[in-house]
Amino acid sequence: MSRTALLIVAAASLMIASCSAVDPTADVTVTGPKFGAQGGSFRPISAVMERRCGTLDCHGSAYRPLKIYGQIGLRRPEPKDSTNVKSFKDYYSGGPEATTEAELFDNYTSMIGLEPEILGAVVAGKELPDSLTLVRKPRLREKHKGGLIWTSGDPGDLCLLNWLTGIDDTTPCDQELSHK
Amino acid sequence: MNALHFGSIVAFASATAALVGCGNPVVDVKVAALGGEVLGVEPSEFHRPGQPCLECHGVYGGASPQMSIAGTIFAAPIDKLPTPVEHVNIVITDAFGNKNGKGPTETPPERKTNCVGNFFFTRDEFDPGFPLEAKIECPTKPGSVDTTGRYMSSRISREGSCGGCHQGARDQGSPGWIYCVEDPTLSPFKPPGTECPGVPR
Ligand code: HEC
Ligand code: HEC
Repeated sequence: MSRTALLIVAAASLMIASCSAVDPTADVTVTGPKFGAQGGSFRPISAVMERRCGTLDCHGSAYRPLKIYGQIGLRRPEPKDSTNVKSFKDYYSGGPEATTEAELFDNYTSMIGLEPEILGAVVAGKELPDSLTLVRKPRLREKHKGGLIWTSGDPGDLCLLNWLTGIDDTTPCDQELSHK
Repeated sequence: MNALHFGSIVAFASATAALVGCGNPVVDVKVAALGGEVLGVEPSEFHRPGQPCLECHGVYGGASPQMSIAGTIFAAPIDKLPTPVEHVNIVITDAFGNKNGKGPTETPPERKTNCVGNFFFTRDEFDPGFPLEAKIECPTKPGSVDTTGRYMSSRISREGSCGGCHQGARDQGSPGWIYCVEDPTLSPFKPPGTECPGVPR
């Protein structure tokens, strides 16, 4: 059998397998990593994402699939009377109002919403973290317009990995934020 | 012979690329949105204060000179186009520690704003590695050699125009104009006169 033929057979069986596996009416429930009360568990991870990814010229943009809000970048659109905001006059990009809980929650959903099924499997310990584009892009293991942000094992990387794999230690996040 | 051929193909390919670049529809739309020149002000270092210079002077913009970093510094954070500040020194540090285009151990050359508050670095002068750190040193009053430093605490990840982020009043999508004095009522800076080529006469 020629190589081409083999390939076609393989592709054909793949298609069959995937067709029969899809139930268009099924809802998939995945368990995400910790958010915590008022977003407390997620805040340190968000802080790293805000600083390293969420600047206005990158993921602090309304046009990105991964959209990050926060104090030093894009603020979540809020009307003047929104109870999500403590002081509206301090609620601007770079303003004194800290990243709000509503912003934290949107960052959380944006991050887990990229590849929810794989993320669920990572959280459940059934997939390796680097199967996530969220982990691979900043390491530049996958095409990334923002280039290399950190390499495997760097504080920022560990901050994300600990969170994804249920390790409560956020010291790598603090470390990432303390250096320039 | 082969090499020669290859050379001419490359040259041809880059020529088409340049043409296509000029006609980039996204850039065209953004540039059109900035409007035309102010009557009486030549296209020069004194034009278009506050605008994102690299939309036109960046890689895809086609205007000469090609710039890597450029922007405008104003007196105070108000909504309308505020009074510009002249002689503000700009210090940009890139990811490799280079400052204003010079190595980390060298003294960074001064880069001052002109009478409409504009400054720029051409790509030949400074081809920085992102992210960048920005610091400005404002004269305490017009003509003074004493300065007040203002630092941007977050980093610039890839936008070379200060005006790409700093635009208009502060709001949920922008930190507002870059300014020297927080309180407009305390600003010692006056608008430039007609001796400034950026002021239409
Ligand atoms: C909308 C497009 C546009 C924007 C925005 C723009 N420029 Fe220009 N600029 C031009 C064009 C067009 C020229 C004329 C040269 C050319 O055609 O290549 C020019 C010329 C210049 C020159 C060269 C003058 C000379 O004699 O060689 C400088 C310096 C300059 N601009 C600075 C700036 C600065 C600083 C900013 C931002 C504050 C800015 N420009 C924003 C389009 C623009
Ligand atoms: C990617 C968007 C972005 C770009 C591009 C950018 N800035 Fe900023 N800048 C910010 C944000 C957000 C803040 C407010 C938070 C902070 O200080 O980091 C800020 C704050 C500042 C401040 C401090 C303001 C204060 O409170 O005194 C200065 C000074 C400054 N920027 C200068 C510059 C200069 C000069 C440039 C161009 C070389 C520039 N910035 C380009 C986003 C940007």
